[in-house]
Amino acid sequence: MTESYTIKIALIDDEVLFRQGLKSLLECYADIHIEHESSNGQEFIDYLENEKSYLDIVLLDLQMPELNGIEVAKILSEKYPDIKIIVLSSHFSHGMVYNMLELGVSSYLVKNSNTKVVYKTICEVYGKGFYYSSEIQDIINQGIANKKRQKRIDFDHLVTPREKEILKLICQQYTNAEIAKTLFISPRTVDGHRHNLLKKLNRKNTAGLVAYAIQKQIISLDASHFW
Amino acid sequence: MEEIESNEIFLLMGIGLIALLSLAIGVILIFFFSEKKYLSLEISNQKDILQTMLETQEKERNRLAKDLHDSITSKLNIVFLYLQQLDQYPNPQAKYNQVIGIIKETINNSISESRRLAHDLLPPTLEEFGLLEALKEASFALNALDSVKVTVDIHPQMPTVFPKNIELNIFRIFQELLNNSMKHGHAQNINLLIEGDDEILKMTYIDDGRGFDAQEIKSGLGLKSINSRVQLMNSKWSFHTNQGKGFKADFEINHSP
Repeated sequence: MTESYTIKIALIDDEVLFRQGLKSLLECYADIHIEHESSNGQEFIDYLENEKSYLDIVLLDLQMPELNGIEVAKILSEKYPDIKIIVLSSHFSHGMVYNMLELGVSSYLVKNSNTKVVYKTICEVYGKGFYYSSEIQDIINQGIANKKRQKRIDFDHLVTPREKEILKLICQQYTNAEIAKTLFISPRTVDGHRHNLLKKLNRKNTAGLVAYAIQKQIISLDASHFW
Repeated sequence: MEEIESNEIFLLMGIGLIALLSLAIGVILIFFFSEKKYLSLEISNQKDILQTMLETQEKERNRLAKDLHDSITSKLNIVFLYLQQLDQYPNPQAKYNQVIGIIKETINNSISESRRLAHDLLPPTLEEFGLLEALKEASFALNALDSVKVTVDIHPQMPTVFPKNIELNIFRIFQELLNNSMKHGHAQNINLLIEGDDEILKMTYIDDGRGFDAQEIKSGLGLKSINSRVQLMNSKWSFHTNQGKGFKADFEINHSP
């Protein structure tokens, strides 16, 4: 039997009432634990530097005083790449979503999302490192359509064909176990390839890897593979 | 004989000196008056710019007041009404659920509309990720509506960071141009080309709409406000248009700090 694990989450939002409301809604789920709350980015960064407590995911607002969400995302992807970021913002414009994904966030939710959607996103990000909802996919596809006129980078001598295959499956949200099964290799081998990909493409985590692959048009999103 | 000659010489010199002095004074006076004229022309020009900006501001405030009312005030009124209904009819369950459903939908609509309002007023992408990203985003949003096709071509070696006020002014100019093309020009295709270097940003805007009689619309508020913004940036622009021949505008914006 698997031991029950609670996903450790930090809530970063300057609207106190919203934060408290969200916290009480999320605490209804047994496998989620709100480890920490902050009202602005600076508070959160200070907390990370002073208390070495462990976090899986941070739900991050963008517009905040002192240090906003964009800056926090940059610092996290640099210094704490293992903490996965889910943006939770009032804004949901093409530019905001696309650029936050390029900064390496794992998913992007709008503040009046259904609680069930928030919970699902948390679980997916925890399990697979990223989650692109259909709205996000639309935005990405629009961005790619526009970039088609730019040159594609010559990717083939950067990574091996096997690694490229694995990258594709990662982008299609296969877990390590599923990739292993599909390619008839061991999960440990998959892990090794994943590690090489991160190193070769100079990314710090899965979300960054996927964002990079899509941005550089190495992988194209096929609607039939996402749910 | 000699004495008279030297007197004549002194006289001539005296006259010459006076003539020169008069000439000098005359030239100084001419400069002074034309400077004055230039200054008063400058002042009336700046008054014109100020007037345009104030008119534009009032027009926008008017629209904002209306939009706020429609998107938020009236929707909150609806929500409040239905909440009172819930007070009155906690049972039967079916009616209760129906009302809750209406309230949720109304609130969600209100949220979407106020988000759009805020975004149209000042897109967060402009502030957080810069002018070029905001221009791309604006074109995507319009393309998604399927009523017009907008393409933004940015030269790959463009600098991507500009002074904030320049970015804002250029973005507002773009918004104004788009507005004109769609409302008046009924354009189907719009193209924005951006290139330049560390000092000058060159922007070319073309639409395939109806165009207009340039003489007629020169005094329109939209073009005037574009003109004001360009002048405020100490830059230059020109536009070409004719009935049935579309609209083209070229900008050369100084952005060196």
